[in-house]
Amino acid sequence: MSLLIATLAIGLVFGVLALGIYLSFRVYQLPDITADGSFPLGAAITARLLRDGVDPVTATIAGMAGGALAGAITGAIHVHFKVNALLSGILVMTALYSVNLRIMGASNVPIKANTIFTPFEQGAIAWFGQETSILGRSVPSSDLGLLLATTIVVGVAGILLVLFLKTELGAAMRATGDNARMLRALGTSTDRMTILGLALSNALVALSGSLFAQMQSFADAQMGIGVIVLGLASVILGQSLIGPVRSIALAIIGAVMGAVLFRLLVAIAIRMGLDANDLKLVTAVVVLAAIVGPTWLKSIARKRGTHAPA
Amino acid sequence: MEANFFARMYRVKVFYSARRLILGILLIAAASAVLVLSDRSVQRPTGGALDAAAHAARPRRIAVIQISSIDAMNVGRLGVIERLKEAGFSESTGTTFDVFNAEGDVGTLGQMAAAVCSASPPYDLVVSLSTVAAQTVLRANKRGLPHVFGLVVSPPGFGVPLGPWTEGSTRPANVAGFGTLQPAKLLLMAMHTSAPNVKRLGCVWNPAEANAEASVKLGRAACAELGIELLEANGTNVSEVATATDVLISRGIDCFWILADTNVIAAAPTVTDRCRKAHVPVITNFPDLSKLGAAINYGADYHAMGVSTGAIAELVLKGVAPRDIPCENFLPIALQLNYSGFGENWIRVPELAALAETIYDPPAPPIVRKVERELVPPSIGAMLAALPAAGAAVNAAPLAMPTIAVLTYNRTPNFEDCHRGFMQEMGVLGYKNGVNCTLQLRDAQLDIGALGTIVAAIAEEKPDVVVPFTTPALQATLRRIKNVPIVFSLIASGVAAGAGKSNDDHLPNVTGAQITCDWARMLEVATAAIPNLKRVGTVFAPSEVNSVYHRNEWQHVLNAAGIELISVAADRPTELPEAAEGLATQGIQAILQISDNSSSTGFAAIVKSADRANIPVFAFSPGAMRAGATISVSRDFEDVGRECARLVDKVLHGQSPATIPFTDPKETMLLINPIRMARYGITLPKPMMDGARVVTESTGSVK
Repeated sequence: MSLLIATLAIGLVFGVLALGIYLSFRVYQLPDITADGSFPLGAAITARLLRDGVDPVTATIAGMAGGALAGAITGAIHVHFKVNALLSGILVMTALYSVNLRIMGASNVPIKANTIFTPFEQGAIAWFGQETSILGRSVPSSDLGLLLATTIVVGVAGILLVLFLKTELGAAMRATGDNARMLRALGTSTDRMTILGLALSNALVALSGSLFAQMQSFADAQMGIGVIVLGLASVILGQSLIGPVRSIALAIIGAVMGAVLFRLLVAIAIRMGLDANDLKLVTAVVVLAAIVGPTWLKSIARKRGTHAPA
Repeated sequence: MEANFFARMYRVKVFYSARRLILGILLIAAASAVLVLSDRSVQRPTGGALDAAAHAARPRRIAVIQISSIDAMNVGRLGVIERLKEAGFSESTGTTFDVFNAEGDVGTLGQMAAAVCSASPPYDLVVSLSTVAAQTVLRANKRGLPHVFGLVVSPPGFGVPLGPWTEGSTRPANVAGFGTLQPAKLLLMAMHTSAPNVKRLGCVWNPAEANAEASVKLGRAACAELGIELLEANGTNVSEVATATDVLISRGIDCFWILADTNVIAAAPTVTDRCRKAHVPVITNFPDLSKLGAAINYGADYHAMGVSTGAIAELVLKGVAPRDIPCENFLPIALQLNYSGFGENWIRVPELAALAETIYDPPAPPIVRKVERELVPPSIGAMLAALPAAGAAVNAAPLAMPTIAVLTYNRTPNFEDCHRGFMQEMGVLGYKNGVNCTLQLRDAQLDIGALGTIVAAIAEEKPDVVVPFTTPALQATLRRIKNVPIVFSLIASGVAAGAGKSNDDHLPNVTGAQITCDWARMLEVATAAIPNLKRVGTVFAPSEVNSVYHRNEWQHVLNAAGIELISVAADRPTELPEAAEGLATQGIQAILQISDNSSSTGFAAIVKSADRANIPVFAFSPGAMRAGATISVSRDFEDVGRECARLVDKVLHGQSPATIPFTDPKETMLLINPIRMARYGITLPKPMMDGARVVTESTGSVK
C-alpha cells in the first residue's frame, strides 16, 4: 500500500512534467528537448537555495522561474536566430548541464532542510501518528501527506493552466501551434507566443524537477536524463486513454492520468520481482499493452458489432 | 426555456467528459488494485533488525516439535516453555508457542517438520525434543531457521559433534543443543548393589533409534563389567515392545531394564504390568516411572533437561548465534525408588536411599526430598550470565529468512566487480537466495523516477536490510527509509552522500563499505616509476559525485607533493575519447586516472589517446588493467563488495549500524603489465616489484 501511495505521489509530480511537455507539444507539435536540462535545473536551484536557508516556497518558485528562463532562451534562439526548434532545445539543454553543476557547486546536493512537503508530512503524522492502516496494510502517514501535497500542486497547476489556455493569450498560444500563419494574419506576434509557451512549458518541467528533488531529498546533475521521453510517454499514453478530444481540460487531465498510469505500470514491473536487467523491457511492453490494448479491444467490439446478425 | 437548454447541454458535456475519463480511471484503479493485492507487507508487520534491543523485544514465534506424548517428552516440553517464560518470552510479551506432537508417527513428524520449516512468516526458533525430532528438523530445515534440540542421548549419533562449532563441521551453524547420555552404568551398578543375584537382565530396544542404540551400548559394557548377561530383543513399535517383553520374560530374565527408547517408554505401563505379573522387577532410566512400580529409576530428570533446552533457546532468542554455543553432554541426574517393585531378595541400600529424591514404600506415603542440582549446563549458565542486560547482545541470531534488498542506479564494470564480491561473500556467509534469505537486486537503469519507485517498493516490503550501490541509490534510500538498516557500497564517501558527519558519526541506521583510493601508495608508485614527476592528468565526470570527490582528493594529495594535476571533464563514455585526447596533448607525463563510473566504462578510450601521446596510464581500479593500464594501484572492488556483505551479516545478527563506522578498504593491490612497463621504460624498485601481481592485458588474468 505504501508503494501505491508513493507511486501515486511520484506519478503526480511527473504529472506536472507531463503538463509542461504537453504544452510544448501543443505549441510546436515537437518535443522540446530543453526539458532534459530544465528538470534538473529546477531541482538544482531549489536544492541550492534550501541548502542556503531559503524557505521552501521561495526555493520552489525560484526553481520554476529558472525553468521559465531556460524555456524563454530556447524560444528566443529559435525565434530570433532562426535556429531549428529541436536544435535550440538541444543547445539549451547542453548548456544547462554546466549551469546546473555551477548552481549546485557539486554534482549532487543532499537536501536536509525542510521542504515544501514537510508541513504536509508533519500534519499527517500529527493527525494519524507515525503509521496508519489502509485496507489492513500499514502506511507511513508522511506518505499520505506527500500524496495530498502533490495532489494539491498538480490540481492547482492543472486548473491554472486550463484557465490560462482559455484566456485570449492562451488561445493565441494554442493557435501558434495549430496555424501560425493565420495568427500572424490576425496581427498577433507568434514569436512572442513561442517564447511565452516554451517558458511556461519549462517552468512546469522545472517545477516538477524541484518537487521531485524535494520528494527524494537530493538533486543530482544526472537526474534529467530521459525525462523528455518519460514526459512524452505520459502525454501519449494519456491521449490514448481519453481519445481525440477538443476540451483542454480533458487533454490536461489525460496527460496527468497518463503520467500516473505510467508510474503505476513501472511499479508493477518492479513489484513483479523481475531480473534487474529486464525492468525497462518489461516497462516498455506493459506501457505498449496499455496503449494498444484499449484500441484493440474497441476494434474487436466494432467488428463484432458489424458482423452481428440483424 | 433557454436556461433549461443550457443546463441540459452542460449536463451532456459533463457526462461526455466523464465517459472519456472512464478508461483511464479504470486502468489506474486496476493498476492500483494489482499493487495493493500484491502487497505482502501485511504479513511482515515488523521492520528490520534496527538494533539488538529491538531484536530482543519483538514478538517471537516458537515451534516446539516432539515425537510423542510420553511423560518424559511432555515434562521436557513444559520445562522448555517454563524456562522461556521466566526469561520473558511469554504470551503476554507477544511470544507464541506452537506445539507439534507427532504422537509417535515418524511420517507425521516429517510433515510437521516440513510445515514448521516452511511456515510463512517463518518461526524465529524451532525446538525439537528427542533424537528423531532433532534429525527430522535438521533434514527439513533448509531455510536455516535457528534450531535448538534437547532430550537427545547422543548428538554425534546424528552428525552433531560434541564441543564448539568449527568451520566445516557437520553441525549446521544454525543448530545448538546438548546431549544427555543416560547413566546406564550408574543404574546397573545401583541394581547390582541392591540385587546381587540378578544375573540375566532383559531389555527391548529399537535398532532404528539412535538414543536406544547408545544406551544399549553403555548397558552392554556395564553388564560385561558386572558379570550380568544382557538379553536383548527388538521392538519397533509399542505392540512389538509388549511382545518382545513377553519373549524376554519367557527366557527367564531376572530383571527388565527400560532404557531410553521412545517406543519402550511409550509402552512402559504395559511393560511394567507384564513384568509385575511375572514377578520380574523393573529398573529404568526414567525417574518418573517409579510411579508405575519400577524398582530403581536412575536417570536424567526430563524436566531439568527441558529447562536446559529452554536455557539454550533463551540464549538464541537473546541474540547468541547458535554456532557460538558449544554442544556438550549434560546430565541433570535424579533417582527415585519404589520398594514395592523390588524383588524378593533385593536389598534396600541406605546409601542409595540417601540419594533418592522420591521413595515409594506402600502403604506408607511416599518420601519426597528436595535434591539440589544444576538445571543448566555450566557453560550455558556462564553464557547466560554474560549476556548484557535487556538482551542488548551485539552478536544476535540472524533473523529467520531475512530479506535483503539490493538496489543500484545503474550498472558499470565497477558495479559488476563490487556486486560479484558481495554475492560471493554472502554465499560464503551461508546466505542462499530463496533458501534461507530473500536477496533481490533492482536496477533503476539510470531512470531517476524508477529509482524513486524502487525505493518506495523496498520501503513497503520492509526488508531486514537495504543495500544501495551508487550515491543516488543511497540518497534516495536515505530519504524514504528511516528505520531499516542501510548498508551501502560502491560509494566514495558516505559523508559526501549525506549519510553522516564523519565515518564514526553518522545516521543511526546507516553504515557501509566506502571505496576510498590509496592515494599515498599511488603517489609512491608513480614517483618511483617516473622520476621527476611534475605534471599528470586525469579525466573526471563533473556530474558524478564520486568522481568529483576523487578528483578533489587526488588534486589535494598531488599538490601537496608538488605535482600538478590537469583534469579534463567527460560525463559520458562517449565524451571520453575527445577528453582523453585533449588531456594527453597537454604536456603531461602520465595519466593517473581516478576511478569513476564513466571512465570505468570507457577506459580503453583513455589508453588509446595516451598511447598516441606515448605516455603511460596508471589506474585506481583493477579492471583498468584489462583495458591497457600500465600499472594499477587499486582497491579490490570485489573485496569492497565482500566487506559490504560482512557488514550486512553483522547487521542481520543484530548489531546496530550506528555502532559500525563507515569502513575503508584495508588492502591495496599493485598490478603491473610488464609489456607496457617495458614500452614506457618504467622500472620499479625490487621491493615494490616483489609485492606486485603481473596482469596480462588480453585476458586480465593474474599470474
